[in-house]
Parts: sequence; C-alpha cells; structure tokens
Amino acid sequence: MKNNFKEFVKGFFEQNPILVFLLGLCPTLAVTTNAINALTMGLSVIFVLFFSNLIISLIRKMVPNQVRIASFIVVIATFVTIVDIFLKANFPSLSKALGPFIPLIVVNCIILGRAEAFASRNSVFLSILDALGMGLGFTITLIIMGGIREVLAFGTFFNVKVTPDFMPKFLVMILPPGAFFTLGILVGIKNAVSMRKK
Amino acid sequence: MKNFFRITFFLFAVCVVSGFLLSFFYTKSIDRIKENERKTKIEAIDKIFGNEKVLEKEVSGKKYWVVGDKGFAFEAKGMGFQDEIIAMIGVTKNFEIKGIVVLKCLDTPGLGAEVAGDKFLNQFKGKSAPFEVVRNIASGPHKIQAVTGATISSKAFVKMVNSAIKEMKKKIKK
Repeated sequence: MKNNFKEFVKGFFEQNPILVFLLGLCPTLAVTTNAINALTMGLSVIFVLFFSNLIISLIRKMVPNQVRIASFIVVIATFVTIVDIFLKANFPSLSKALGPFIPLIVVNCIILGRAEAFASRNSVFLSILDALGMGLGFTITLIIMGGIREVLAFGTFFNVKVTPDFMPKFLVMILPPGAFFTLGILVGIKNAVSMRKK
Repeated sequence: MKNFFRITFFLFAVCVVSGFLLSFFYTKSIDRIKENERKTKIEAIDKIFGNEKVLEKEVSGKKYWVVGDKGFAFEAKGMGFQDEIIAMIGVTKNFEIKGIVVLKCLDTPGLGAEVAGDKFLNQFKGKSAPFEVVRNIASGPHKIQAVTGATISSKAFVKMVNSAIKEMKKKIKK
C-alpha cells in the first residue's frame, strides 16, 4: 500500500514533470497567462494521461517492440482529439483561448514519456496512479505559474480581483519573458527545498 | 516474415479502433460545435445592431447577414501577430461602420489583444473604409490610432477590415 501511495505522490514534488524533468515546457510557457487557461490545460492533460496510461498498460504485452512508439502515439492522439472535440462542443470560449495548444498535447513529452517509461512496464493499477499523480503535479504547477503571472500582470486570480488598486501591473509577466522568469524561480525554489531536505 | 505480418496487423488494428472511436465522438459533437459557432456569430451581430431580425444570405460563396433594414454584417479574417484574427463587421447600407466585434484573436494579452478592446474598436464607428493606421492621435475621417506597443496587430487588423469591406462592396453590388 505504501508503495502505491509513493507512485501517486511522486509526481507532485520529487519527480514533478515540469520542475524536475522539465518536460512539457511548450504548454507550460505558453498557456499559463492566466489561472483558468492553466487549469483547463492541466485537466486536459490529466484526462489524456489517464486514458493513454490505462490503454497502454493494458496492451503492453501485445505491442510488438518495433512499433511501440508508433502505437503509443496513435493512442495518445486519439484521446487528445477527443478532448479537443469535447472542448469545442462544450466550452467554445476556452477552446478558442487555448487555440492550437490542445491538439499539441499529442507531442507533450510528459505523456509519451510516462507511456514509455512507466505504463509499458507496469501493471494497470500502478499506471493509473502514476498518470493521476503526474497529471495532478503538472496541473498544480501550471496553476501556480498561471496564478503568479495573472496576479502580477492583471491583479486578478481566476478573473477575481485580488490586489489593491495602487499595486502596479507588470505587463511583462504575461509576455514570454514573464513565463521564463516564473518557471526559473519555481525551479530554483524546488531545488532549494530539495537540497535542504538532504 | 511472420513478424512483418504481426507488426502490420497490430498497427492496423490500433488505427481502426482509434478511427472508430473518433468518428463516434465527432458525429456526437459536430452539431453542437456548429451550433456554438452560429450562436457566437449571431450574438456578435446582436451586439453591434441591438436585437434585430437577422437573415443569413450568401453571395458568390461568401456568407453575410442582413440585419432588418439597418444594414448588414459579415466576417473578416486576416493574419494577426500570432494567429488568424476573425472579426464580425457590421455596416450600414452605405458601408459606414456600425460596429466591429472580434470573434477570435490570440495576439499578446495586454498588448496586441487590445485590438479586440472597446477603445480601439470604437474608433471605427461611423467612419468608412479605407482606413489608415497612425501612431499619434487620429484626426481625419479615415484615420485609426494604433494600440500602443502593438503596431503590428493594429496594422494587420486595419488591413483585414479594409480588404473585407472592399470584397463585400464588390460582391454585394453585383
């Protein structure tokens, strides 16, 4: 039981896909301009990661080794397209705001990385735990980044005003440099905390 | 050779299953997606003209909407700073701008995205094409002041509006 729990929480901090592996940086840098976009992106990734890990660990013994990656990509692309269609049908404004970054989840290294490194070698149950843990770790990091950038640039968090009027708005935070500043500082904090633990 | 068949068959099977799944979800959602698109367009037209009776028409392959006896509306598409910008343009019968609503714009929030803001769009009201972008305060019937720090988005937007109106004028006169 303890082992299962470990597979679940490792994605939050110790093996956080963004802060430790620096995977999936394209959506991390591009869509974290506000907290809602970050949350939608995170949830979409959790969905895709969950089903791709589930299916891949189910078929892992049947997949011929030579076409491993090709089959994984087809599985991942299928679920990404489902998410894309779902968002277009039910949340058109979010789908517009995220634009091409939803279809681009296909090439998100976190998902193929988990499929190849974990789901193709472990049982279905562990793969699901791994997917949920990694997905949540990814989502939480995205929301933290999106939150920091939104608060500093617009003075809002999830579109609710949080800062007093006299606080200046740092427009640079929603531009690409702001994404790098935030990511760099977060990775720095993560490393500082890890080092202290040792 | 045996392996060759196995690999081919496996990839084929994966693709077939994925194809079935996707077509299932697509057919389930396509009506909703189309309905959403139609709704955003009608909402945009309502925002420009107020609640008027809207009639969809088509002229040489281009859709436009006749709004009561007030004028008509049509879509404009053009390349912005990052991605395509789509806007709904409402004009009176003499092609005087009644209002513009941006349907899609992915330019930089806070800078380029301001072309979708009221401050920029209100400048068009009551004026007629062709428009020209200026950097300082706009004076003159065809001048539009660019959004500060977003000259590229402003120019792209105005260029898009100009060409859409030109195209529509030609088509409707026919």
